[in-house]
Amino acid sequence: MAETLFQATRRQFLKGGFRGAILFLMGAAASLVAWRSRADKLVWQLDPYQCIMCTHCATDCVLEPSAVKCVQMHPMCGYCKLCTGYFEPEPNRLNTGAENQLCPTGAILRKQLEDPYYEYTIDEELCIGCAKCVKGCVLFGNGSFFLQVRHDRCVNCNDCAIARVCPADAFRRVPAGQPYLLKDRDRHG
Amino acid sequence: MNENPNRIPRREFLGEKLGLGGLAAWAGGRVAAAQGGGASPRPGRVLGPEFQYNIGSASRTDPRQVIYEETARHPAGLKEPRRIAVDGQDRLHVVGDRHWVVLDRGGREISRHELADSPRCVAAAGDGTIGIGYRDRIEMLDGAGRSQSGWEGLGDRAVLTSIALTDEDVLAADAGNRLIWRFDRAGKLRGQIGKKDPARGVPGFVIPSPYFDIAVTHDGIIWAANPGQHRVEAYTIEGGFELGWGEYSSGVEGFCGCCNPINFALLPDGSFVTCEKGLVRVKVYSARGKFQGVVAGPEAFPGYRDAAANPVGLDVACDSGGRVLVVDPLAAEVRVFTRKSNG
Repeated sequence: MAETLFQATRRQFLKGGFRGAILFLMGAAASLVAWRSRADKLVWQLDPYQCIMCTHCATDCVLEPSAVKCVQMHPMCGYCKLCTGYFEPEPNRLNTGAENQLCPTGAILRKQLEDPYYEYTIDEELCIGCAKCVKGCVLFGNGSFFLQVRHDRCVNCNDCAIARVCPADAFRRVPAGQPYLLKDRDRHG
Repeated sequence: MNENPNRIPRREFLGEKLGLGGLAAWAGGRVAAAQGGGASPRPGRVLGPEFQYNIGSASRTDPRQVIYEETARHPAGLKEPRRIAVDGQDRLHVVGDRHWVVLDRGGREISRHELADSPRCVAAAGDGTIGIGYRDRIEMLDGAGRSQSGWEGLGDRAVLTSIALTDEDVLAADAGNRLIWRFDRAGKLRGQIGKKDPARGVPGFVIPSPYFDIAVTHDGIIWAANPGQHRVEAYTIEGGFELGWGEYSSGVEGFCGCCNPINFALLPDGSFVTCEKGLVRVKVYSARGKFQGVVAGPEAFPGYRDAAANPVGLDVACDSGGRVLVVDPLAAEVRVFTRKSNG
């Protein structure tokens, strides 16, 4: 029988196997704890149907700019040429001139798709969560603009500073696995 | 300070983080960094006026332009009445929730019928037939509420928003497909009206939201709201585009917002009564589309100023005496407006 260079003794084999088993069990336990922790973890979110579009989300978050941003739910959007979330109530012209835009920080992007339809998207780097556009969209349009806590930014304070002052009690904890409260298209006809 | 019901007990919070070992240190450090380094609660901070949404003077109506006055309010007996039609005897047919309610001219309930689904529109024909539109199908009923014929569904994309009846045809406005379906009284499809066709000069409907109203005159002209274009347009029964009127303005003469008028009705003299959303107001235009005056301005509908309430829009019908009957879903009433003697 040929001798191999790396033949292990029974003691070495058992020792290695035991070490491997311990490592495996530790890994499994850590994964289980992490998974359970993720499943039970709660994060802050605001209900768009309770939001009254005050400006507390912009002014009271511990972050600056706020972790609350306007989001655009495209399936609800009317792709209007005259978007009341994008344009001032009496725009001079329906173009991207700053004087015509409703958003004070210029955080909404407008792109022509096919006349008379335009696509509107939010530049989250510029959005401060003031809800001015949300009010314009909800009042006249379909309400496809609404505020949400963005979890790539939110530090998930134990006692959310915005929730504390929200006059509509729109903030609540939701499971981290489903961290957004989106609008329901059917509810709007 | 308000007590927050969602606040997590310290033990639970720490337990979660301790379970994660090293992750706790990272998360704790991140929170500390956020709360300590340049990001702290900012009590008392307010945004400047440029961050306030302001419609401006358009939300106020010049009293001299109001040529109608409210003379009655009739509870519809529905949680959320949505649409109204008036029949040849000036009876009011109101639909909402899952019901169709018939009121007499004075607002007294004559009958009430339960429907199979949530109605989205209603029309009354001269022969007493009632057409009710659901999201994707039509039901024709006799005056006693008996279903006359079975109609097939119009598909997942259909969102019916208005019905109009002639002696031979049933016309249904479909906001989802952006066209008007034309059926015979038995439900057989006879054609489509208003689909964009540059070769025939048909501009096409722009319907950003589920408001797309139609009405038909005695001489067979179909009037249709084209809210995304802020216009009211006329079509022949064969689908030919005749004319259109209307323009955007938050001023009282035009149609405001992204998409108005949402609903309209024809007065006996052929003039139009229109309803708008956003700036909730009811106005009258001549048969040629010239602004004549206000039936009720935004002041008459204070509940609709609250955008968060997200109410269903107003609907309107007119009776043979020229009364304007407005369904107010927030108040759950039919509000009756009569032209002022000096209006």
